[in-house]
Amino acid sequence: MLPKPDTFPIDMAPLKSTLAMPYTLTPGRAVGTFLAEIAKKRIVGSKFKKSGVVVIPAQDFCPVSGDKEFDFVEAPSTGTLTGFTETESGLIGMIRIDGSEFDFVHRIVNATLADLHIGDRVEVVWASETAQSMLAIAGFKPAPGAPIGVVRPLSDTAEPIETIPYELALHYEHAFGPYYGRLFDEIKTNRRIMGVRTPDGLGAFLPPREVCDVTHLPTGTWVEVKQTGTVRAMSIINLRFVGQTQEPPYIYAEIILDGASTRLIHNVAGLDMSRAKEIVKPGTRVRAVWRDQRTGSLADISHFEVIDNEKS
Amino acid sequence: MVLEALGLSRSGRGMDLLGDKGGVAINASGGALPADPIMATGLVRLSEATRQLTTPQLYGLSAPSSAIVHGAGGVGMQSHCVLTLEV
Amino acid sequence: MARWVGIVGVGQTHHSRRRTDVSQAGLVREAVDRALADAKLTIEDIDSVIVASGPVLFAAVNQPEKWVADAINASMKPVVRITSGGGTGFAGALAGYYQIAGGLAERVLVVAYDKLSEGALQYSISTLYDPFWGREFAVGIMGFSAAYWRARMDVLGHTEEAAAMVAVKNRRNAIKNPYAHVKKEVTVEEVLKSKPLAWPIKQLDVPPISDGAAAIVLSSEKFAAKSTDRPAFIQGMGYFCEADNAPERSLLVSEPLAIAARRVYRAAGITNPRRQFDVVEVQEPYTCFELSYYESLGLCSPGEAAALIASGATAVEGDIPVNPSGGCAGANPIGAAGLIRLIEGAAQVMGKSEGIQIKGAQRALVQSGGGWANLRGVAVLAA
Repeated sequence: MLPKPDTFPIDMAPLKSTLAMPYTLTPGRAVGTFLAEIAKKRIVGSKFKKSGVVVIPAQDFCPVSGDKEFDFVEAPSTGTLTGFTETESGLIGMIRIDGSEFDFVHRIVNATLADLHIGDRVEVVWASETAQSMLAIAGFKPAPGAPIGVVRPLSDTAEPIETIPYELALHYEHAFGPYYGRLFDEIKTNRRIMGVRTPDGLGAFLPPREVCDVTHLPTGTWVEVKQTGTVRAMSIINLRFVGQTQEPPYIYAEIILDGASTRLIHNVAGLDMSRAKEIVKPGTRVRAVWRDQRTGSLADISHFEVIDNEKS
Repeated sequence: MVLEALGLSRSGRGMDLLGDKGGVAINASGGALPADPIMATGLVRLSEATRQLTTPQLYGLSAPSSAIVHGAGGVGMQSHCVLTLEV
Repeated sequence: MARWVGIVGVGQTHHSRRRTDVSQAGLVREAVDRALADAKLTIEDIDSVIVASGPVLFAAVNQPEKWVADAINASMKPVVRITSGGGTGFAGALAGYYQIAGGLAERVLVVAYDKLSEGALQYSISTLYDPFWGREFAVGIMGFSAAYWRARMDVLGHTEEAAAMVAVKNRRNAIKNPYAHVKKEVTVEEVLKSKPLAWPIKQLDVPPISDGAAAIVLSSEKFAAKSTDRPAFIQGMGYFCEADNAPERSLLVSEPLAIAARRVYRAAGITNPRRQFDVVEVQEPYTCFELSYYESLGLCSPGEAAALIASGATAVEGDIPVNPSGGCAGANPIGAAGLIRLIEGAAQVMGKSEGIQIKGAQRALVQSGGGWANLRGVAVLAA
């Protein structure tokens, strides 16, 4: 058995990556109507026909009975505080609007933590700007002694909002660890591509890893793989999509570098794209072409170019 | 809340169990406070309970024969999973 | 010894490109109402619920099972979420199967869904790739699927023409499927001339993006008669995975699919799949996959898939109809697709397929899968 690889932690700043994409979310009929109405300073709930249960804000399905038939009702602007806490962004409370059997979360305004008690009466404070969202309400303020409001039937509700535009942007910092650490350090510093030997010593894993995927045996020592290799699969990309990093058409390829046993994914370029199908096929020989800049990632290789008539 | 729901103490008396006074070692591992890899935390509890039953001397426990393991999920703790183990 | 498990009720939404009249919860509720009605049960009769949905990034709701469980009145029942790429719906059904087979439940409701219209699908799927090693090159699953097809093309003869025949067959079959939403016949020429998106994959090799949900009720033998006198008995079911980037990985044959098929065939007493199945439902994210499945499932030998499709044997009039429902070409709400294939297989052997019934079908083969084309499941259903 081969000795354990001579790997040690390398101090590399984590890889920063952001996942950002747009959405068009669908709220459904009850919430869609709630959002359309809240912009007009009207709070809408559902009163379920069979169970009589009232839920504010409006929901499509009764949380108690599963009933799906309901009428819309207009909620009063007062309620009771059933829970509260202080966060970095201010006070948050659980509010039970008068007439509802359920609580929802919103901000508490015009108060400090010391002012609040479970069971306090509260009242809506509308935001100065209208919005088709919960933020049309700025929050709930303490309203001691406010009389209990009543829920009223509602028949002329606005058309429900069918889609809500939304953006998600999630930021990550991925730790390299000792294997990716050395791999990318060598790519950046020495323009060498390093794998680790497979447990039987005959091949190399690229990217390098601690154990064999299949046998879970420890992998071996570090070994440099060549910068030439063979295409084993390819596709010509014409599709355009959100988040795409290059302009079509381009060639997506799985390449096995000489000395490695596993594939890397990259582009093959520097050829007449109108003849791509003939020139680039499983078995085509390619060579790495490096960019001038060094970032310590796979992108330091600009692309792979086709080698004519070369044997490995 | 969880200790009371599990029936280890009477309702409203969960505090009585602190310091392992109820004859039950509670979170000898420290629970989620010292380390909370959220999605793994429940399984860590199971793994800890197993170690405590099979190698109690590592935790300063004498001869525990059964354990109850609890995990929860959701921003309102809507989901709960409970397991009991015995040696 | 595992207990008998059968599918006793099925339901699905009329899948569509986009449903703006319901939220994810509403979509789930529709499928569940239909499955429970089909099983002549209410939610009170259900012991446990499995919610299967695609990655959270698809529709930006984390832990959606906690939301949709309320919509189906499953409060206070065991509810778990299963996610497994394209195999999600199948894996959800497998989890339900284990609960009954292991004696922990008598009746389990499995609902699988996706609302793909809500997000940026290719981008979400690209997070399947390692952020350090290849993600910047990702083209959803289309990029590597096309590349793997190219790798099989020369050696196995999976030509563009053969894949085009799959598109023609499945799109034609979808027309009669009341739940499919893409209902337009195409010719081989039209497929070959359609825009290459990730060549060799072209526009008409690609399934639609869909919003849809599907649900089944699984039952133990003891309770099956309360729902139906003709349950679809699960004679075997398995789900296997291979490393996506191991030296041993073959692009020519799907090893996890072949292993799953071997194990499930042994459990179900299948020695000649071509002859012993009356109908087959497979989950083809692109047409090229269906050719590969013919070989890995043993419906023909490696290298003979093109001949099999060309012979007409896998058409609805053939001796081994594959995807009489239209497969993914008719509707593809990814998280539900695996469960839809199980439903279509079950409906066939239960004799209640609508518009697409293969006469006398008694035994069905179902395939599902996803990930890096490295998660593969097989089930055999019989009535």
